[in-house]
Amino acid sequence: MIRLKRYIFLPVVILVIALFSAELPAVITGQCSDCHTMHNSQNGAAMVSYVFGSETTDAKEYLLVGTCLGCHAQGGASMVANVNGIDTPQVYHTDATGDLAGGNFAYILGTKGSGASDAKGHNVVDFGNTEDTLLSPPGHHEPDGIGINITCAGIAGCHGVRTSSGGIYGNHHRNEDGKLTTADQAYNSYRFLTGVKGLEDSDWEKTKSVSDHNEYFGATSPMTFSSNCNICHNPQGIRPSNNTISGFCGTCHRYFHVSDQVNGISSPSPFTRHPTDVILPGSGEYASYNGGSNPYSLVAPVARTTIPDVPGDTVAPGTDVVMCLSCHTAHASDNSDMMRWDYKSTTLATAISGCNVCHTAKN
Amino acid sequence: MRGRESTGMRRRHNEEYIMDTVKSSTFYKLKTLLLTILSSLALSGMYYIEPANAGTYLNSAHGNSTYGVKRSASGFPTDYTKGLCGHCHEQHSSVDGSEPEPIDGSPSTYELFYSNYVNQTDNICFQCHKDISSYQTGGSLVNRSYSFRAGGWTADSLNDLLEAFSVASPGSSHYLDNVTTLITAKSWNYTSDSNPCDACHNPHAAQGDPVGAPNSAKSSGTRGWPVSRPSLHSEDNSVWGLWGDSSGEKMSDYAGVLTYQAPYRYNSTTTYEPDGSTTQNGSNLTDYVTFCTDCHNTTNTIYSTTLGRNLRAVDWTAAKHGKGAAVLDSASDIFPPYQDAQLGNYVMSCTDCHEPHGSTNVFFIRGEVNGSVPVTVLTEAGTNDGPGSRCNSEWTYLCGKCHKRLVSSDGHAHPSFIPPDTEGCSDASCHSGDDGCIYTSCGTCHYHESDTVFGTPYGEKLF
Repeated sequence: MIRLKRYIFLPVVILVIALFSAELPAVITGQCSDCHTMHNSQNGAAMVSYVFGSETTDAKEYLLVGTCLGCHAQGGASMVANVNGIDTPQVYHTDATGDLAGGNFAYILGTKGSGASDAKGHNVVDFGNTEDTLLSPPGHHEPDGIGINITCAGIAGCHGVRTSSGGIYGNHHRNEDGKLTTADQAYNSYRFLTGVKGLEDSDWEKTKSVSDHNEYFGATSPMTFSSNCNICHNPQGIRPSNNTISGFCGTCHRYFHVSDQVNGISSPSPFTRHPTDVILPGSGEYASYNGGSNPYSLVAPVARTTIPDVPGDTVAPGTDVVMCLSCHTAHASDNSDMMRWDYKSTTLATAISGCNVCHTAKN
Repeated sequence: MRGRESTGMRRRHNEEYIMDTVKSSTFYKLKTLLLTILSSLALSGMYYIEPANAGTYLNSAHGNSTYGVKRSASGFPTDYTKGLCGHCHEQHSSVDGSEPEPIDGSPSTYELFYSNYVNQTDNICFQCHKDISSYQTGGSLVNRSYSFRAGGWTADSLNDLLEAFSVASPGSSHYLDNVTTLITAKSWNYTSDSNPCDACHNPHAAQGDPVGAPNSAKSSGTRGWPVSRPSLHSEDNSVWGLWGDSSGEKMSDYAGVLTYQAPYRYNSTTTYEPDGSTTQNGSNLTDYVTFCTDCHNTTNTIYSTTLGRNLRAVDWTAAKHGKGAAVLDSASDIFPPYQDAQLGNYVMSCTDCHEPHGSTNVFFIRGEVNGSVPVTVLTEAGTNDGPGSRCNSEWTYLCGKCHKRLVSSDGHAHPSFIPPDTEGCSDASCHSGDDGCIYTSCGTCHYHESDTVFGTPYGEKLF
């Protein structure tokens, strides 16, 4: 009996360790010199040391010791890297155990995954990879003013203040973590995506499960353009007026989001594009979202119309919301079109496996 | 004694050793099982493993990974696997930043790559279901007639759906505008955006019949089930299932205590429709009566644009060819496989005489019936010549496939006296000869729901 208890106790201990051994997230604390250098010179050597590819170690704006990619795209073997003592989420790495929630730009360059492809992600210009297919963000208005020169931050990027003079500056210092319901500045927005609300997973989904993940904010109807540029263009920069993650994507991919291009929102006409910021129906095949008792799917997640305090482990058809990230990753995936699953698999059941999370009767 | 004790102790020792070994083995197995269960529980909690199972779509013709839908068009990815949603649905009305062919300039409903329905010969389905310039890989998609597939008449040259729906007068096809009018008027969850093809087919469920062999006749080993009942239509694929694939949905079920007799396969007297097997009782045939009478019944008034009048109602429970009373009389002399002795028990299927999509005959009458050809009926009134060049007799091309003694050499089995007339064969109404022809067309009196002769009630159904 004693031996039996030992064999019950052992796995429980292993489980507890597995659940709670995740690397704790870092915040911006510590010495100023961890991130800044006064003269970019110490004993005659440049202090700028976190750069990517052909980026130089010349002095950087805001006296930083690195660039966005220098700190967050180190290309190492871990999806979370230690940068001067700070756990830093990596958007470009070779960690074989997985990727953080946003995905991994390494798939575009082919340093991880099944091979390089422009179609695998947002082809951020800082990585130095030429975009060979697109001329502008698909679904954007024309002229779009961006072309293919998308960046990490700023007016042609996603993070920070999205103005021509904007960027991340200062927001790391004021960063607010966790549940973000204000979202009127970059620092109090979800992942510095100005205007976006949500619940940030503390380790960027380094560990993830049905009850351990980000929570995205969604709405019951998408933004309506109707010649109103202000749904995205704000004096403080570009941001979605509806504060949703899908609205945020729509700031560059407008036709894929706004009600006047998707149709079927305020009228009974069928959708002409796959909708986002619409309620996952509570009836029919959608009621069986992900089977069983509707466990949250990491393959095809949903957004919430009310941001929870803690990640929810189930989905409520009839209440929760379809979003862009239900199908796509934000940065890049190992699948074409940044899909969360291999939509181009030669095995049909695999190719539609993500579709079937919601479209449960189309399997 | 010592020796026996010693031997006994050794035996006990061995038994204890064996028992210990057994206990140890059992405990090890229990331990392994326990660890496996606990580990599985832990892992399933952290990483929910989603079930994978093939359902309605993957079993459909469109969703088949071997011969399913695969669009080939300029600007369209070549590496989408067969059956993928994207072959029909463009989720963003574009692919890789631009719209592949066919470019119609604006997003289409249901995210389709082309307008869901335009007119009789122009809709999303016909972009692929045609034998020339099809967007299906290979540029040609063959779909044969019912006479070909079920009748086994492989000489029928009709080979695609666009062709079937394009048949010009004197031929006929299901007129899709009229279908739309009906289904949207019913409470069947169709809307003005619906495609009339979806009245009969669930594109996410319909199967090929035969499966994956469009240029072959059906066989018992290649059966599929292509239709879904319009009255059961739902956008929910788990609700709107196939019709005919399950028990209770066969012609044998419809016949009940009566009899469905399968017609012969073309040029055969030993094999039967629909699959060329020896099955004759309709247990391998979809209950097309229930299917077709969702629309064609005595309740719905269906205006036919092509006929310029309302279609005749159909009450198959009362029709002689249906479940209505039929008697053995002087006119009852029929060809095999039907038997005179069974008259009154037979129930026919709509598909015994009609094509589902279109044919070169009026009313989609099949080109092959009960194992033989030709069937050439080009006028509703039947005024063209029939077999043997007999005037006004073209309906006997059809009726004569089952009813004997309709040709002149057989004489005439028709009742001599047709109330209210009393003059028998010489009755002026029957053999007036006004138009220079001594014959009256079968269709003058015998058509769906007819029960009158020249406007006078006959007292029973005449069809």
